[in-house]
Amino acid sequence: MPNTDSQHGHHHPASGQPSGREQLPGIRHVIAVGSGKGGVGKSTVSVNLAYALQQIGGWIGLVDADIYGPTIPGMLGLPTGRPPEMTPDKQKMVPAERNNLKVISMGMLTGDDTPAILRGPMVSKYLRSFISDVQWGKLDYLILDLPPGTGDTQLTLAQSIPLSGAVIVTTPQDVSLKIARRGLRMFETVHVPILGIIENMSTFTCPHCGKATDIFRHGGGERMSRELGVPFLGAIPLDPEIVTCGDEGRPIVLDKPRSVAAEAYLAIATEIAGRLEGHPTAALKPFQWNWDTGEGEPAWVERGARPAGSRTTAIGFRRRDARTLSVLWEDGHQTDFDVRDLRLACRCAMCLEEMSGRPLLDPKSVRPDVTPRTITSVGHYAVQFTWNDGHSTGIYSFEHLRALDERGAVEVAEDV
Amino acid sequence: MSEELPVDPAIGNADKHQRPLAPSLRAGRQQRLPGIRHVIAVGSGKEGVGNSTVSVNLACALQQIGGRTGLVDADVLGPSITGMLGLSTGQPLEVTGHRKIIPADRHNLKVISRGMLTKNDDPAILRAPIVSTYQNMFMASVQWGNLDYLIVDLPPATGDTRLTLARNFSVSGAIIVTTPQDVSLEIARRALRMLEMVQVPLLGIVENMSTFTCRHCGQDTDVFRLGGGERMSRQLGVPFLGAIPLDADIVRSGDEGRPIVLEQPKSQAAEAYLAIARELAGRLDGGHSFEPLRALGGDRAAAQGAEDV
Repeated sequence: MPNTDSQHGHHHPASGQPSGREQLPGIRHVIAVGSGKGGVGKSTVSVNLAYALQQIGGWIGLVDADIYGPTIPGMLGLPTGRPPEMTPDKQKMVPAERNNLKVISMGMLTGDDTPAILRGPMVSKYLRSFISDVQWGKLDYLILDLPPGTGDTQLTLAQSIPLSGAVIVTTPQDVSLKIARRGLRMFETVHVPILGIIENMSTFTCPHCGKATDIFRHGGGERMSRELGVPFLGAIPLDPEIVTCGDEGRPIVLDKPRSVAAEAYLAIATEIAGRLEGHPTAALKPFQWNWDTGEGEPAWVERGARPAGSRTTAIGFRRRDARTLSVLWEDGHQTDFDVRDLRLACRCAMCLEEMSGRPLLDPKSVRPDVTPRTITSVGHYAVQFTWNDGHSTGIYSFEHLRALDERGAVEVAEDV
Repeated sequence: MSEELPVDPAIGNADKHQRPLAPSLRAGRQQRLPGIRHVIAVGSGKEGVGNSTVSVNLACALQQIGGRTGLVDADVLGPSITGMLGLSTGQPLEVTGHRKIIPADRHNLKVISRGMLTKNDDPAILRAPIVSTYQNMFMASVQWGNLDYLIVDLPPATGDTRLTLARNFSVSGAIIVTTPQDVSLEIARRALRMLEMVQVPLLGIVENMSTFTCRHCGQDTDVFRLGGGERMSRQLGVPFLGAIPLDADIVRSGDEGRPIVLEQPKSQAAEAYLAIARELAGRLDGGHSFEPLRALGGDRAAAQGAEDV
């Protein structure tokens, strides 16, 4: 994985980046959407993600960089074969606009039926011009729908454009996962941070009987994110409505905002925005940590912290001593928790009455030498403890942990 | 970014002698592969429509109806056929005394894929000329023996492959794989034109991921819409070869290295493949002429006529 500095390549362009990287004035983040192979619905995901990011508040642009088979004009009902207009000074192309989304696509130049028999170097040239010679104006996010694969085009793009990060789209099945993994390695090779994995064409629900079938198998995206230590952003169901909406030029996020699919996209957009606005490098990789042996101990990187960082994002855990768990927060704050105090602060249904918040756990019943057996990360928001008294149902959100610290509800030995 | 050698060091051993492995191709001249009766290219305008799944199952089906069949995974950047046939990976290829690569033999299919050389996770970041070198080598420098059919599973429409293949080798015909939906059809149409521009005759269209039948209630859903392949074959005046259902068993059997045509020969999917294979065999050996379809769209009748002869 890339180091801290390369995560914001365009903020620190000088350090270790290929000299070809250009600055894009007015564009805050360029996000590449890639996949190891095509047909996983990458363009559908790009379009819906663009609108989902717009919904949560932002100016969005979309580049259909899939020069060999541009599908985005079809998905947005944009005319093809009509070159984009130029600005009055003839210096820049004016992007098309659909529902406040600014779009540029090779399909606008070639029309539907013209085969794009292009060779590598030409493609790279087109792509660069699509990004730097377009009058985007101010954008929060520019989504780059990459051509599938790990060839020339992707390589050139990843090297020559200051990407804030890449999202990998995959389907749940094995064949596709192997290939997505290859795509992921490619981004790592060229030091583009991976924002996470989206699993598309996930479980299908029969509209007739309501029963689920995993046509393209199950759970591959999550498995891969675990194996490779990159975040899992979410799963989009296989849904004929998504297909129909796409074919008819009405992306499902706009057309059916209450659908399961649209909500999945919104959740993913929120997650991505959070990562980009926050400090993505500091994020912990998933861990399962044996308290006694130290096996699987998570990272503790103090330089990942910064004054403007999130108060409620833990970026490090370590065992200070047999009875003290230290937490490093993204804002640089550190907390030392006595492990028994943490056991007493458990808020699971067995320890706390759900409705009233009345404590059910009698502190006297908790043995004085209670310690964790394992501490496991839960998503990117919480940890779960397995205790040596057999208790294991409590999930401690980072917010809860930080609140425990600030309320002084547990005895803390501040180590600031 | 370092580029790999045109020939994997894994092939053969002395790098001095790597060069003879690459076929000697004269520009502008099509090479007929000795001992191979028909080279059939399987392509699509876009990836992920199941091109490799169709190639593998079609090869198995052609073999089931009695043809000696070989399979080239021309998708050098993203080879997936090794997984679908359960072939071992990361092994150096064996080479004969005459410096021909010995293909893998699986289910009586002769197979060559770059996936056999690499580990699955190796990133394939190769420049276009190297990709072409691999493809030419996989066609011309492999000890195929006598074959009735050599199926070439083309990579997605990145242009380069089809150009090289059609320029260098005599291809009996091409099959276009598409899904039923519109977006994908636009792309398949593009692929058709591309093949026509380089004068490869079209054998027809296969619609993959067609109607899904729920195994719980038995009812059909057209997940990726309906009938696009047939519509396109009418519009373009090329034969419609058949529709393969969207089926979780095809996906699973492919992942497990046992193609559905062999694993569940009585299934609806397998029968669809066998029917397509019979149709193809009839067309290729039944005295039809396979002139390249030059007329397209504008002159559908002529195209239809050529096909009906």
